[in-house]
Amino acid sequence: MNRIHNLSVKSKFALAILPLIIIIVVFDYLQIREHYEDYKDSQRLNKAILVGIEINHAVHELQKERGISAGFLSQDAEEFRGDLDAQRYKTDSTIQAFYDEIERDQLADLVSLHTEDLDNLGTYFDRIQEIRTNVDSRFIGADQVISYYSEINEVALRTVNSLISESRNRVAAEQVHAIIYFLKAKERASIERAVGTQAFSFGSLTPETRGQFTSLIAEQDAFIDAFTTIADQPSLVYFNNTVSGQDVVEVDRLREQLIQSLTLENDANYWYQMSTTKINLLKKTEDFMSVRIHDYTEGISAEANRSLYTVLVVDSSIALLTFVMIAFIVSHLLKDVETLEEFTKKVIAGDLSKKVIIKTRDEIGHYADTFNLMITEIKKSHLALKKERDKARFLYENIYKQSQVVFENVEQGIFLLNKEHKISRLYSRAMETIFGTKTIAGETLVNFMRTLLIPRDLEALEMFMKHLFNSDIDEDVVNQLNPVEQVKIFTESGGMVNTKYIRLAFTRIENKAGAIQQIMVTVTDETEGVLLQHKLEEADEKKKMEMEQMLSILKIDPALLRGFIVNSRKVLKSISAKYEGHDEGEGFEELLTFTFQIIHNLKGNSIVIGLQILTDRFHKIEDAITKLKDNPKVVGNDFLNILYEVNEVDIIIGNMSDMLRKVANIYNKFSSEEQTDTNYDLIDSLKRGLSTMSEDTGKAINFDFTNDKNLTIPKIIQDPIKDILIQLMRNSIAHGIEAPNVRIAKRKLIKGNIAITLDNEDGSDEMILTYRDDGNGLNTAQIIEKAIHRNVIAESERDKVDDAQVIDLLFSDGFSTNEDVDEYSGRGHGLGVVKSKIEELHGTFNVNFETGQFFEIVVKFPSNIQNPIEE
Amino acid sequence: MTLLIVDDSSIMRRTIEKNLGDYNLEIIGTASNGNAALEIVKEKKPDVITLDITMPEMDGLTCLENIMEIHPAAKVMIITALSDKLTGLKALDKGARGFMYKPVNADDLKKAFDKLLKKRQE
Amino acid sequence: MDTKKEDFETTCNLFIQALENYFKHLTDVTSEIGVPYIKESDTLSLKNFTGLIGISGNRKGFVYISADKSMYVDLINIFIGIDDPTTEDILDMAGEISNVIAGSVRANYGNNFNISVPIVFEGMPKQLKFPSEVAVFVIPMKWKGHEAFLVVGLE
Repeated sequence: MNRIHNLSVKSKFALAILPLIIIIVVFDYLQIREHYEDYKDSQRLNKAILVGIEINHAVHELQKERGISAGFLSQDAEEFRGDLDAQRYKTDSTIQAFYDEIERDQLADLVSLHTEDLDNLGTYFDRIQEIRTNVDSRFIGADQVISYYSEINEVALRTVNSLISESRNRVAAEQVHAIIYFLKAKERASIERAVGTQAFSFGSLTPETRGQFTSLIAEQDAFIDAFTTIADQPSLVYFNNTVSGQDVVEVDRLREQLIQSLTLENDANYWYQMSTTKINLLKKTEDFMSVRIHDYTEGISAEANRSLYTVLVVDSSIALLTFVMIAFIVSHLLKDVETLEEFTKKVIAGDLSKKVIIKTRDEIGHYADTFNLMITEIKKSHLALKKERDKARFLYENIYKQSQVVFENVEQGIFLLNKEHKISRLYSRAMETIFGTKTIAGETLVNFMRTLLIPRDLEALEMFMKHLFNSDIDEDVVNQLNPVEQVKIFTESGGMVNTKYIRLAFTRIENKAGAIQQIMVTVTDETEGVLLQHKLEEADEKKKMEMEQMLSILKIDPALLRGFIVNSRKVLKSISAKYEGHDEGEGFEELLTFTFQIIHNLKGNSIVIGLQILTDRFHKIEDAITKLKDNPKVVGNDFLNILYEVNEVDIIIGNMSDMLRKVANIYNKFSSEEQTDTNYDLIDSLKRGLSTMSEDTGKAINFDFTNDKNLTIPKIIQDPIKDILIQLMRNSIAHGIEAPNVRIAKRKLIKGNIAITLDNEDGSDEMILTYRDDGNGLNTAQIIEKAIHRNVIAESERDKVDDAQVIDLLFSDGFSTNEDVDEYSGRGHGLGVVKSKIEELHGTFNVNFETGQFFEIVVKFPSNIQNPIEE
Repeated sequence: MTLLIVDDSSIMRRTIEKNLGDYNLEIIGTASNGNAALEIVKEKKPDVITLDITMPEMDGLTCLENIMEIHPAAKVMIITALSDKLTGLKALDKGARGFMYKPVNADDLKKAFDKLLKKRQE
Repeated sequence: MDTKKEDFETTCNLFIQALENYFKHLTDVTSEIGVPYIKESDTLSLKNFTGLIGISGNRKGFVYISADKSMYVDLINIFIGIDDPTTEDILDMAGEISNVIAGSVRANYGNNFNISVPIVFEGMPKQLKFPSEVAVFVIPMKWKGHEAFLVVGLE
């Protein structure tokens, strides 16, 4: 069995069809043999019939000779002599024809088959000559002659029978038998003729011959019956048509006469003639049938021959076709299988590019489809594998090469922490940028952050890390406590310390069992880069500037500053008071307007006294308020900013006040001990004086003190200088600076101006103090008028008085121009006091004026004076 | 399971009690300060404890430390107003299993307790 | 100066946020913040019940929440469902709010921003001393029609 299994498909197929081929061959062989047998049989039958016909011819002639011989012997008459000789000649020639026939080559095989019969027949034919001799010599009787001839004919007919009765064809066999029966009947008819001839010669039937005669007739009828039973239709028709008529009836009548022993009307010759006619008719029928059977066997032969070739051709064709078909199928199958094998080999070799194309729709075709499906699947999984492989390769490259590229482009710092809390070898480039260091890998996170974090955060981080790796505690719960979620760090790069705000996020990486393998950390720099850095630097710068500005208040006149401070604090407090009293119903609009007005006023004041720092502040508050005014949805919260700023300003102002006090204290201290003086107190009191005066008189006056060289009037002469200046100011308010309505009419600024300048000539100890107002100047006419009125000068000299004299008048003791006495003028000691004080200081003075425009006095005095002249 | 609520505010204690009503927790005690809490822990060994941190006399962290000495299996949920990270981490360090910042509402409690109680079942 | 201002704003906003979050988170009713103002510490804005938290450490000062009884009653009702709380409950509630609000701010200042246990009182305290150098910000607020003050005084 295994051997079969191991055979190639080709061999298996061959093995499978082998029985079939054998069957076909065997079947064909049998068919062919059958047909060949039929053919041979027909051929043989055909030949046998030919031989038989010749024998029949001989029998027929022998039958006639028998009759004639019987007649010759019984009648003793010479009348049969001539007929007998003629008949003998005829008989010999038919026998000769028989011999000739069997001598033919074509019949050799047939003859050889029946040698014995034919030889036997030959010996009987050889006896004919002896019988004739006995007839001629009349040694034998008619009965004997008949029996001699009948014996020969019997043998001849038996031979015919043996020759033709072996047919395998049923139809042929039947007809052969019909002929045989017919021949037997004819033989009986022939014997009947001979016996009849003898009886007619004697005039009646002898008792011996009567029995013979009737049995001949009975036998004859029996054979004809047998003949008619199996003979075919044409033979029967022919027989009925042929063996009939007058002669046949006559034979029957003669026969009846003989049997009934009636008086014989006719002689033997007549009987013989009639019988012969009838027998000739039988012979004719026999010939017809012989020809017919011959033709038939001929036909069978041809048929058999044709069948043989047909079978040969058809079966061979079938066999060939079967073989070719099977060979075709097998080769096709094998070809398909080979194709499959070829593709399978390709697949094994890794070529998946092509599909198997098998056009047949059989199992192999389906298998090919399955194969292709398999290839597609293989391709798919191959592709998937390839992808995985590529991915793996990608990751591989990523980890060892590409990662650097990728990590370089990620803005976030990314790294992993192992179970020892150590930073992975791989981290994103951003880490270096964010932390400004390259020593990152291998460090524990806490150590890495140690210098960057404040201790509190560091402590928290250390604890956090521990819990982060503790899988008992939920990741969300731990992450809730991330202390570096948002943290400020200080990094150093290129010697610069940068403040950064970074965010660290932690994600656990767990294995399938849920054990924490690593922690992924992402670091986000939220500093907004350099921008915030700049902002902070800017803020620092500003702070510095503000400090400087704070110091600049020292340059502002203390009296002014103090007034401003007191006023500002009062006003600023009113803001919070207002807010506290704020009623919901009023709305925010009113609060904003209120605040704005206050701030705006304060800004104006701070501009006037030159407090830039506060001006900026106020301006900022104004901006904030304006913004809020434009915002339709103001909420309480929004006031926080304003409130804060207001508080800030208050604090600044408070600081200024403190500073001012401290500075004043310091100066006071130093002035008593080291004679180092300032003008502040002097100027302060002047300002205070002026403001009181201006308030009382309703004349708004600006005070301007210029001391570019920052000179200090020695303490010792400050009081007389103050007195001088106070007096000059009083004078200005009383006489010089006009009432506001007058100033408007004169197109002057409503606010008057008093400017005091302290200067010196370089290298000189002499100080130059210039006092100037923008008032009406000197009304010389009025002064002269007054002097005349007071009899200081004579009426006659009125026109001779020049400006210098007017000034002298003015500076003389007790001269005053004002009609009314008020706080600031009119006591008659005005400018005279000024003059005397200047003289006390060993100083000089010079007056300039332009009527309607200004009055100016320039006082020069030595600064190194130790002891002013006492009064 | 048994529950102990520790908070110096009685309102807070009652709020927690009310909001944890749906849980299968038997409230075996409430305490307004650390010492009282420790007495109950010693006596009743509650399974779950909610613990405030800002309390008079003994603060929550100290209390937690003591609880863990007496009854290490207790699952302590810190519920505190102290919102800084270090306090939370310290609490975890000392053995707390959960951490919540006040103000806590019913939903917060539910989520935190789901997490706290589920973890154990796994 | 700007950083200081940021600091101030952050601080105030932290308290405001904590307060707003408290009401929003626990009651689902938002609170409204009114116009804040500065107050001299000797004349404090106080309602009937006050919970005060002292702050020490990096920042020194205090924060308190002051409101009338009705607000606390409402809150207690929401939290534990009782209608008629005792005075003790009211004081407890006042203390708890101030505790939570002060505690919330601690997230941003760390554990060196120490908060005391609440000091609670009804009406004016008999003896209460505030640092004089501290500017006191009063942040009025309204919740469900109840007025309250969040008062922050920090160095």
